[in-house]
Amino acid sequence: MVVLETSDSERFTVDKDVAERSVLIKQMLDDLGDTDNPIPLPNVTSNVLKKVLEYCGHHRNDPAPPADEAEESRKRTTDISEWDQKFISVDQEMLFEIILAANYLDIKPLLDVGCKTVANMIKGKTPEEIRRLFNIQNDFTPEEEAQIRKENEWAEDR
Amino acid sequence: MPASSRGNGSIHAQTPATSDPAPTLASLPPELLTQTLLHLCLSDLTSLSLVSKPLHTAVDLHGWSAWLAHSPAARRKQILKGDVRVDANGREAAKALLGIDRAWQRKTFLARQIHFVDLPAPLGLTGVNGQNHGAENKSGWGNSSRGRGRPHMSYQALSRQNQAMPILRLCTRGLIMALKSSLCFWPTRLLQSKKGIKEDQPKVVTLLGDHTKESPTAWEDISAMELIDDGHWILIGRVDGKLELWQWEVLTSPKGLTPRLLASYQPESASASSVQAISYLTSHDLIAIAWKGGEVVVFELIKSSLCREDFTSSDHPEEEVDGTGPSRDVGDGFRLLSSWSIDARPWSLHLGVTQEGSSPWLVLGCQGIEFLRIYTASYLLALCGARSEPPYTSLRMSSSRNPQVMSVYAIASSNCSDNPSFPPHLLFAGCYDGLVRLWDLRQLEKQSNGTSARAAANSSRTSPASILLPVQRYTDRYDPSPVYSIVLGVGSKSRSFAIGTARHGIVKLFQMDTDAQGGAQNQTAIAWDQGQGREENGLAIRRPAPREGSSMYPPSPPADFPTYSVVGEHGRLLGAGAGRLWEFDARVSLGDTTSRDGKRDVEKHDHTASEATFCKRQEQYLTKGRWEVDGFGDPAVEEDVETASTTVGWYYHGEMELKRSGRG
Repeated sequence: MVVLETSDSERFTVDKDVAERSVLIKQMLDDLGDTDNPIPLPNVTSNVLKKVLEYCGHHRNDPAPPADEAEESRKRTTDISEWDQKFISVDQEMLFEIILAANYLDIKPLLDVGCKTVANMIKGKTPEEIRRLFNIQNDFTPEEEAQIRKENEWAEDR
Repeated sequence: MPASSRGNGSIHAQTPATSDPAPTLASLPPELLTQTLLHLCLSDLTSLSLVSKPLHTAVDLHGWSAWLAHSPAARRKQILKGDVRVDANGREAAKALLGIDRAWQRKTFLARQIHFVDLPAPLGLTGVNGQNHGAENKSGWGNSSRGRGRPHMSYQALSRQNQAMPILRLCTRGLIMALKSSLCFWPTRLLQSKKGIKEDQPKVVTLLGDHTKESPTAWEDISAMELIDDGHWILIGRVDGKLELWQWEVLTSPKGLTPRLLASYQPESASASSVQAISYLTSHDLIAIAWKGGEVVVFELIKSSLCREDFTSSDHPEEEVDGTGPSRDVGDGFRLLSSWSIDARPWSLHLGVTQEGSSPWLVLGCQGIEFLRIYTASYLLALCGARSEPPYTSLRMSSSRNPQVMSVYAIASSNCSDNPSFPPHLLFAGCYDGLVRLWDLRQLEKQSNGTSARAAANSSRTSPASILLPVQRYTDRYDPSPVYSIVLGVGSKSRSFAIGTARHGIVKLFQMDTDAQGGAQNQTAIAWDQGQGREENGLAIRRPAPREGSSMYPPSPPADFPTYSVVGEHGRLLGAGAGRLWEFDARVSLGDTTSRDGKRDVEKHDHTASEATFCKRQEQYLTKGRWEVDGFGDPAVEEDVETASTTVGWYYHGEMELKRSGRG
């Protein structure tokens, strides 16, 4: 068992193989050896870690991701497994928190799920829809906007 | 930073990060934003860049390169990509790539061709008149007149008469064509020009053979060619059965122009027949050769002995001097692994590996019922110097009206894993009946595990006849002419493969299934299960109809010869037939631009007469009687069509048969 301590000083006790889905934690455990001391995770809050550990628990028995670059590119589609989809159906704030935590904890599959989800949210939307969805201010002047439209003309779907 | 607190054994929490504002899309660190951009297509990227200034910057810095990074065409090594401006953020490269994809999709590209008229007639053609060399009736497709004793005949005439079968190969330094007993070479920088191949380009032509002696052996046509190590060595086979390894330094350095003969080999069999096919497997340095008489030989290439500086036999190749008896010298650099004879006529062969690191296999395309024989490498490598045919699995047709005339003329598989659309376990076979059959060789491994016990019990030399059904078939239902050549990884997104067919120099383009891996795998499983089921339950095997593609004609005058060889990559396809070389060039798209109101207008290019404007739209053809450039109505374009001496036709196999148009 491993004890993890979040930035808001909450402690989580989890199985070692669950915690080791995180490459960061795995390396820390390798460095520290057997220890009963809690592992500090200063960049993660408890509500995010709870969510991340839920993911790690579900995927605890997954085989190691293929190192093969070609294999990886094949999976570079935007399909997400059913369980992951349900898991990632959270509000935007939590989604980005999970992405940041997955990056910090070095959990590549989770980071992938997060980024794919964001990509799926963007797909097929107009700039205005994206702005509304992510609550982003339009800081372009009309001239700048026209300029970019012209720049990007080649890539438009026709 | 993931490693920031590594090794910190403290039990005290660090400064909490909770005081930060809630993260948003715009506040994601760049590397995470890039990860997200990876999953977006170009139109999403353009939308995103219009959202806000930070996102515009992010897309410009990382978006295009991210898109490029997972585009299969960009991942594949491109030799002929042309003058694409190299830019840091990948924008121009992405632009060029997209332009090519669209050109293929819209079938708007240029077709050009050159005739081989300016190739010099070989000096030694005179003086051997009347010599009836042994290979007289064995060359290639049964042609008997060989053009000897006709001095100063142009190559074009020779080609017409003899049905010369050019062989094309691409390497990093350029395009190599074997024609008769010569090699032609176009350096990459010429090929990369947007103008394409021109007849007056300073290509290099050389004769392989010592033409100062009037030795007829030096004039034997090249019937097979394979490049080794990207053209560092050239392995050729001749119609008299001789195998030769050449080094042509024009391929590795600009100075050396004269090719050097490094080694040669002649099979022991007295009735030397034409070399039909050569295959080289880079990962294992294996060479496999098939002769028309049924001899098959597997060599290992010993590169170290070829790289020696003091290598001398290049100046005095003894095999060349001794033209009377076949040489038994395997030669420096070759180690004979096994050789055997089969009771069928081989047409093609191919060495490959199912996946990186696994043992290789050899596929032999033959004439007859057992038209594909697959040998696993455990036998090829273990039986050193074997003389009997190793056990093999034969791929038969499950049903055929006339299996006796079945032949496989072209085999291809992807040896490199950098083309995700063509994993190396897929085997493509171009057949006499006009079909390209696709097998998944992983099924073979499963099957051989299952039947090995039975095979061992029989201790039969050949394995029991096993039926492995193709996972996919491709054909043109209106023109089932035999398939002579295949190239993988061309066309839009490098996801298509092209075949050269036996008639009219037609090149056909077929799109691989978008889910090549999964789809092929599933279908194999189904086909195989049903195959098993048929034995047990008497169930009929239901098979999907063959996939169809589209055809491309070389520019007129009409070509009445096969496309013997076809090479290509993302932006271009090159085909060669007797006397002509033609190319389909998608880098210069005719419908390149879209005006702002969405209406398509055609950019005018200065087409020379030899370039064909490419034409579109069957209905236009049908109503107007000739092909029209897309966007017709523009007088400038109309004029282009009129002045172009040639037109190119295409049609989808699935729709309607169209004859090629004559001159407008």
